[in-house]
Amino acid sequence: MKTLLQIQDLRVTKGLFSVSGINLSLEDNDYLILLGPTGSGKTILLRTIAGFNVPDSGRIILEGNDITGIPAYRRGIVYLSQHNDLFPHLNVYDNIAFGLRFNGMTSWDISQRIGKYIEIFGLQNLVRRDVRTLSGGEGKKVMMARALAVHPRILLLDEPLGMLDHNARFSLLEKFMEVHSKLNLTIIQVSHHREEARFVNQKAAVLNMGRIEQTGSVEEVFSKPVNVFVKDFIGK
Amino acid sequence: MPMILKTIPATILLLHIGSYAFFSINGKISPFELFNMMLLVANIIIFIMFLKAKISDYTIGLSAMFLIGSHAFIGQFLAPDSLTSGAILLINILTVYTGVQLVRHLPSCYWYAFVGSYFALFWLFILRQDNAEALFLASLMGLCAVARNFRLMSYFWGFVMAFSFCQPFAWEAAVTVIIVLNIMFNIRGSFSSTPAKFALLVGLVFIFLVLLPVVSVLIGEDPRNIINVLKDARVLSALKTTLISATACSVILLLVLTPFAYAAARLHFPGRNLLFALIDVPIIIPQSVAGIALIKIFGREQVIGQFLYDTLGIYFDDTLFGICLAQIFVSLPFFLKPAIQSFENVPANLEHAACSLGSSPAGTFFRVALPLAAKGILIGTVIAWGRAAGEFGAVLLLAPSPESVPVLAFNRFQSIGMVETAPLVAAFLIFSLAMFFLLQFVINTMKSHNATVQ
Repeated sequence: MKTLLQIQDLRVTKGLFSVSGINLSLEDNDYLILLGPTGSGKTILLRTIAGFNVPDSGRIILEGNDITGIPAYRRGIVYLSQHNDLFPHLNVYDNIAFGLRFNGMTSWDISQRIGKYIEIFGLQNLVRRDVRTLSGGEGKKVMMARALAVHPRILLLDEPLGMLDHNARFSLLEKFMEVHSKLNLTIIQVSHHREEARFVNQKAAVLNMGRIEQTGSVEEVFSKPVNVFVKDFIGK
Repeated sequence: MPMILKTIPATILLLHIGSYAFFSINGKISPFELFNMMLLVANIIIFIMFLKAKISDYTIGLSAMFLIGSHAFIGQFLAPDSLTSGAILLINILTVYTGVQLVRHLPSCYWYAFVGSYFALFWLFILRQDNAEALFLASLMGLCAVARNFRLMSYFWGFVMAFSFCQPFAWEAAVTVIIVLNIMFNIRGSFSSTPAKFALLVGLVFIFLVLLPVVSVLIGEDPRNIINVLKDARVLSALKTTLISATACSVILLLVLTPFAYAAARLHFPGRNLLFALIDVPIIIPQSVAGIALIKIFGREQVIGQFLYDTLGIYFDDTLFGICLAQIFVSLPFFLKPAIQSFENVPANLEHAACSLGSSPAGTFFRVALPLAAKGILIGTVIAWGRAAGEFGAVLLLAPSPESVPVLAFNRFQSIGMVETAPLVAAFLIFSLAMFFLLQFVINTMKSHNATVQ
């Protein structure tokens, strides 16, 4: 498999906190879970990859091109924050179509493209709904459909399951895994629940105090933690 | 029948007869006047009915005896003639009857309110206004009619107070009081508590007092005069000047400063707080001072004014441009503050989401920030329009002609006087209020998008 994303010696400072010495390499169709306690720098790292934070040093390379200085909207990387980011002035359909409206696509093309994602996430009955009336889980599905509709190279999920109950979380996670394998998608997901990493069971990276402690397949990280911190974190 | 119920009527009757004899001997009353004899006979008849147990309602019977007895001598001094005294007596008996019914069927607070109202009316019309008996009788009947319902009772008192104390503006005051009472009676919601209601009441009264001149100008003017004023060519041209300049002013503010408001809300730069404070400067500067300052910079003899005249051929003294300039100066903060605030209220994460979906900064502005802030921006525009249309001081100094409406009103007031200017003032008030409410209505019908995103 070819390397899709490469992060080389990245350092980002946000106020007094900094994330440094980050080296990560991601292959096409990887599903990486970034694990770590609160305040370990997961979100900062993710937002730097998305292009919202400017790194102090280091490089981000996507498909062989250095994208460190490229603004977020031209990276082809879609970032889903942990909040409800649906546009309140648009209905569900227009939210999903948002990313396609300025590419010169005709509305017929748009509806064709979107229809697929509406079906995957089972949103057929919600397309005309006001997004403010959606439940938490429905909102996440619409956000996913909206993100997938623009065909991102990488999808960044920042604790997408944070505010949902147990059942909704794992059914949505199943949905993520389904689209991941079906659409040949590359996902980086931030989580502080080791169960989610176990459930997805692909790659994992453990962050602590702005540094990566260990990377590898989930099995590897869980069975052979490299140090006390990782052992404590996944074993608790 | 218990003994006590025989003694009380007997005492009242004895007092009546005693005072009758006493005043007759003193010469204060004429003993053979028909009315006085009627009162005595009536009390004797009621007493006999008491003795024969023909009276089913002791309270009313006793009260009637007491009222008849007291009218026999108090009436001599308060009522101008026996007929009035008799009428008041009848009404008093009716009042007592109503009061007794009240105390039997309703909570006691109604009874207290009723008795209190009776004495208040008595004080208001008999003692204070020196024998306004007809009003007293009429209002007592009104009181009896409304006594079963607190809400009606307070409306009634609103009327009575307005007509007793706010005489030249009695109608205005009555309408105001009724509106305020209606608001107070329709308070809903889990936060309604006595202190909160009281605070609301005080604020409402205060606001109405402040708005009273506006109301009186609107109500006090004959509509025919207003229509005549609108036929005056000078007035029409002033209205046109104001309309054009204020609209141009708000359009310029809207087009030039909306992108700035967005930038100011989103960007962080040194001196940001200072800039926000400076925006308010036109609010605190007296208008005349602002006018002089504007002349000092943009007057035709000054450097910048001269430069603008030489290069662009624009000058500000006594032109529409000048009016516009003065209006922009004073209305700028009224547009900019709400505009910046509404852009700040658009959650930044929505714009990040749009950006992440491939929307360019300009696209994000037009497709996310602007639609979500539109309502606040339009409110700012409307307020700025109103401020611009009403600007007087700065306009008077920089460009007294072409005459705008505020300047025209001032000129008329100075040369002719208040009475002649009043229809013009009323016409302009109606015009401004109509514009304002129309725009507010348009804005309020727009969909609101706030209160959604965590």
